[in-house]
Amino acid sequence: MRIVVCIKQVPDTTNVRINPKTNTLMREGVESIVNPFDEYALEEALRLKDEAGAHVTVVSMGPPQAMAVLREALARGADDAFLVSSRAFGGADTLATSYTLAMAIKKACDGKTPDLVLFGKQAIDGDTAQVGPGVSEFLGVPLVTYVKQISLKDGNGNFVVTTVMDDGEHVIEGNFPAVMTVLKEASTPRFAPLSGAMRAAKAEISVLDEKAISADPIRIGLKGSPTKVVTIFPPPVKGGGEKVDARGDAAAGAKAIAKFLAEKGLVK
Amino acid sequence: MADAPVFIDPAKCKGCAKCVKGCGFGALKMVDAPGANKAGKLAEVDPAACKACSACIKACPFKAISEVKQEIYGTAGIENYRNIWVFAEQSHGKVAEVAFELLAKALELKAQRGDGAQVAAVLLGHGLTPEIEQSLIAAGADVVYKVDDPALEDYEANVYVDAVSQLVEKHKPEIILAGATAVGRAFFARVAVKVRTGLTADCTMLKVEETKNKDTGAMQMLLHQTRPAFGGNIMATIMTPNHRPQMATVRPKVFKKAPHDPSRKGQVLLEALKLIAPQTKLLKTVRDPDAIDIAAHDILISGGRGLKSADNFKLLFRLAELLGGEVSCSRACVDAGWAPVSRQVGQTGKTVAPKLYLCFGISGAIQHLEGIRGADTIIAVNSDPNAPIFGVADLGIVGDLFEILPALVKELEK
Amino acid sequence: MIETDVLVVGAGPAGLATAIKLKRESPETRVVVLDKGRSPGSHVLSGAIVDPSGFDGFLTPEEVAQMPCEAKVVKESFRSLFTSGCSFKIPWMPPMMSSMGYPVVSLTKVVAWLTQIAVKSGAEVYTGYAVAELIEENGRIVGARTGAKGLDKDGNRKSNYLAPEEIRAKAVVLAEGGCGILTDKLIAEKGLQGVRPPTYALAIKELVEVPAGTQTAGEVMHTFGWPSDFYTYGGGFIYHVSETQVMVGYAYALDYSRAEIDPFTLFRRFKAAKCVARHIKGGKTVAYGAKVIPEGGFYAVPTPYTPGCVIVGDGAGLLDSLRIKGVHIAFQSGVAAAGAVLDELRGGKGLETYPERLKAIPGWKEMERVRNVRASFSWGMPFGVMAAGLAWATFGKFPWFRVPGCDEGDAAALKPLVSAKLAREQANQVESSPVQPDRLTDVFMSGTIHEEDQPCHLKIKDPAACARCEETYGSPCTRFCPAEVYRRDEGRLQVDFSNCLHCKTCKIKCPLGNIEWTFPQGGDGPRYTRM
Repeated sequence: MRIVVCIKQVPDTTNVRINPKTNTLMREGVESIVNPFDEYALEEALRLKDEAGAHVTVVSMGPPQAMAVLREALARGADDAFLVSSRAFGGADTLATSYTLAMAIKKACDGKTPDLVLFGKQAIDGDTAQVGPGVSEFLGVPLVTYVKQISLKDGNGNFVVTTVMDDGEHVIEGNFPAVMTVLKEASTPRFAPLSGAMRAAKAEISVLDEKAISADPIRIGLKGSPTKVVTIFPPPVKGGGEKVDARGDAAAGAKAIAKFLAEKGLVK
Repeated sequence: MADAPVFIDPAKCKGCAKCVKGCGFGALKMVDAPGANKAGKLAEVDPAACKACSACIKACPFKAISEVKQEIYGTAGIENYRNIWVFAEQSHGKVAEVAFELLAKALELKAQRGDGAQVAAVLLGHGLTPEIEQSLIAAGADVVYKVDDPALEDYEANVYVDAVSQLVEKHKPEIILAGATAVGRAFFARVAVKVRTGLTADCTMLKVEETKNKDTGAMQMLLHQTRPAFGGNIMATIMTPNHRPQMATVRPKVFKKAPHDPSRKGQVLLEALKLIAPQTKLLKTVRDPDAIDIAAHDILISGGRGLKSADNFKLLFRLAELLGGEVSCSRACVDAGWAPVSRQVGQTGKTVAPKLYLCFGISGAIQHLEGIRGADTIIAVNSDPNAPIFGVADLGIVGDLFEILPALVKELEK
Repeated sequence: MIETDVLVVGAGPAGLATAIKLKRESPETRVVVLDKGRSPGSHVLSGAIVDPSGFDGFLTPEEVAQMPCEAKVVKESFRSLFTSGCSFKIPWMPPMMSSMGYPVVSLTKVVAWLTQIAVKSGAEVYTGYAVAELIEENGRIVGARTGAKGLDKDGNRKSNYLAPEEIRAKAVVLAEGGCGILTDKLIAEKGLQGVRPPTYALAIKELVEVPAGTQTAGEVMHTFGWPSDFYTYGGGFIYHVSETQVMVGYAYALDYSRAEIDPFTLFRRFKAAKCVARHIKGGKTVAYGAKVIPEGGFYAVPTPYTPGCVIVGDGAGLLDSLRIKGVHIAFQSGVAAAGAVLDELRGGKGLETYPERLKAIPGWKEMERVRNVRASFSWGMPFGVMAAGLAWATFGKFPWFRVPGCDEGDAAALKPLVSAKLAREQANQVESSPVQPDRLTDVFMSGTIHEEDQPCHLKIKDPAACARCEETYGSPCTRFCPAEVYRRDEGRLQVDFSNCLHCKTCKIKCPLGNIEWTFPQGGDGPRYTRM
């Protein structure tokens, strides 16, 4: 069974701030990490490797320093890794990224479609959750989203997955090949053993550029991106709101809250 | 730098580095260039990081930076795309609230355009009653495109993608909106790729405005799509100038519903499509009454150390019931054993972004505030007027929570 | 089982210097460096003004020129503070305290840069792995074991449990930093203590961003006196690392006797002092951290060798206790250790030669010269100053004998609490502001985070002893911890280990020796990026 996991290196967004005077991202002191959702996707793949001997390939699209997340994935047990990197990919929005990744996945699997492609639900920098579905379209393969658990059936040709939807959990059955996006409700990601880290440090990671994946130049990078970021600005500053002194007059405090809620349309 | 979206003229660049400071994406840096100018440095752009947002062009006082005209590979026949569509998500005959909210927004956008664009709702399902399409018309739809097929009985991403894509190819809507629900965010993203256009997810602001297309120079009515990124630490405004339809998803409760007008008239068009078979099968739906997911709730009633006991903590539940919300808490309550860790909000608990965060006895240490940074509205009740929570609250009540909480419950029960 | 030629425990200045020197002398030797921090430098913190002589012998001048360093010292001053508003600038910079021209750096960044050099030189550096135990066979250290990961708070295995891994080495180099856990244990077990027990200072530090154009890069100031008292060796520093960033810190000796003291509060008072506040005016704290400094100096240095193992850097107490500089000596000790290790691998007398090699480094002479300064300070400031002057003027010849002092260890120096003094101390607080964040906000800015569902790494050996301590000393841990880990809650001692900065103060200063510092999951702890 062949599984591809797409992982992304992202800034640790809990620390990214925007400078309100210059509207620039303040990146100093912000570390790069594996996108947390992708760790869960990788864990599902590794569990299927433990259970059914699947071959796990990890792919990451990013600048050269994204090698670090690929090595971490190898350290945890992935079998091989590809970095999809080139200046030509720069400025890609989700459409161009989905196209690029789909072409890279095909290349990584020698032209064949893998049985399963896993993504984390979303990247914590872009927050779009669009690339997983986008890649499923380019690969022409069914999509199942918000997966928290994958089980294999019938000699590994079929799957039964549990997905988390707004109205509860849906238990769904289907056949491979498929593309799935994985949630943090899935199994806890494993740690990389030191022996794994040592192996990963020596591993060869191929770098795929636009020629290697036979990409159509007008569909990658900025050229292939229909959406354009026009401006960025800091979110509205919180606070500085009204303060009511209800010491000694609780009823007044309660009324102030009730009134506020009604004005905001939050009372049923 | 032939492949970069912006061109920095070395003859004009004075090495002042104002562009580097103005770049929101770290795509510019200064390189040593002895003799090029007084500063001995030139600005250089990294095409991989540049998002062509033009901030550097504006920042340069010497007009040394200009945009490189990109070839446009947009949607052919862009002028043939008309009208504003809303995906009317429904499940077992019940239309999602967000669809009505989006119809109200679509009416606003229609008015902003003022060019006769129509509002249409897209309804997929099987065996749906006429009340549903009527409610969509009453909420603002001029047209309802209805697809009735057994394959659409239950939500199945791949069939939904097929149905909506076919409708888009056939009718060429200019704008489509969908709710950023578990359903909307998933299948809609694939539709955007299938019809080769741009999608902006989780928009918090939408408006239509005459805008200059930077590539063609022409004026167009473009949808300005604003959304948070980097975990909510920045806001970005995005547009899809050369591709159609312009697609956007919006979270529930971001926009308000308009009052229903049952006298509104509209057309219902039944679309007979040949659809693919569902690619997966729903075996069962499991609803776990004990599962608590505070991040999924729009209204959170939260308690902190100030509640002083497990019994007092229970008071929050009545309030949550009245407001249709869920109870959450700070770390202190979990440490004290009053609530399970699944209710914990904060740096080491869950990060939540509810519409309303109403908290009692929470001081607002930064570790807690980190967890509620995305909250729209924060109301805080605390006896300490200097509690840091008041620095972020939209409404702060200084007082005794043991009196205010029951008083509020009484107010709401009225 | 993993095998290597050399295992270095700790990727700080000393450990990396050892690794770099080894690989450059002997490329075919396998060198593995393990660090419990999440990423290179994440547990490293210092002022720092580095004496550049430390780089001689293991880095080329071209490499040193590339070190991340935003300023060199261009202006320095030395002040004695008497009260918050009153200070006196020493008109003439004592030559031994001068650091004109030295690089002012973030040691975190320097260590991250050194890690890259080490890796390029062929060393293997793995972060996120805590070395929890040394392995001894037949009286010789033969390797170590990493700590387990994935245990829940009751010690049961979680679904992602990772068992400890064993790594065997022909030579182990302990580079754990001040008050290293394995190092201390080894010293106790093998009887390697120095002439007197180690004595530490707790250094608390912030990085403050200030408006551009208000400060001069490369300006540095050291202070002594207030808010420390007469008998406690305390002092502060203000380093302008760039036009917009200032490092401000305070080091307070942990042999203090007054149980009501809260070093974090002293740090705040220091920042509020008139002559200090003007350096951070209009600024905002953006990073925070704390660590202990081994100030004992010459007489507190243990025998840094036992079969199979040598000790380098702060872990061996190698520090110039007058200038409070140890980074350059750490580098020199790493180079000396590399020499001893290579000798060992080539079949010579080997690691046994390390103590002699250490005595030959320039830093050793420095330490010997100022060997009586620290103990003299414990008699009172004027004695310390006199001892410093003598040490300098006579090249350490006077006093020739060992001045007694700091002989009982830091914990024993604490005297019972006088509640009136506590009340007075607690009433005297500094108001919060962007440059005076409260403790929890500061903790947040250290980036420290621990997996919550794991055994508490700070073990209270005897909970009943805590009740006795509360009566006698008033639970000083609730005051001396710079991260608010210890709290009294309804008569119980609550340990919020997740806030821990790994500074080790609690292990050192608990008057009843009741706190055992064990290793949390590798990768947990502070996430310094520019300290």
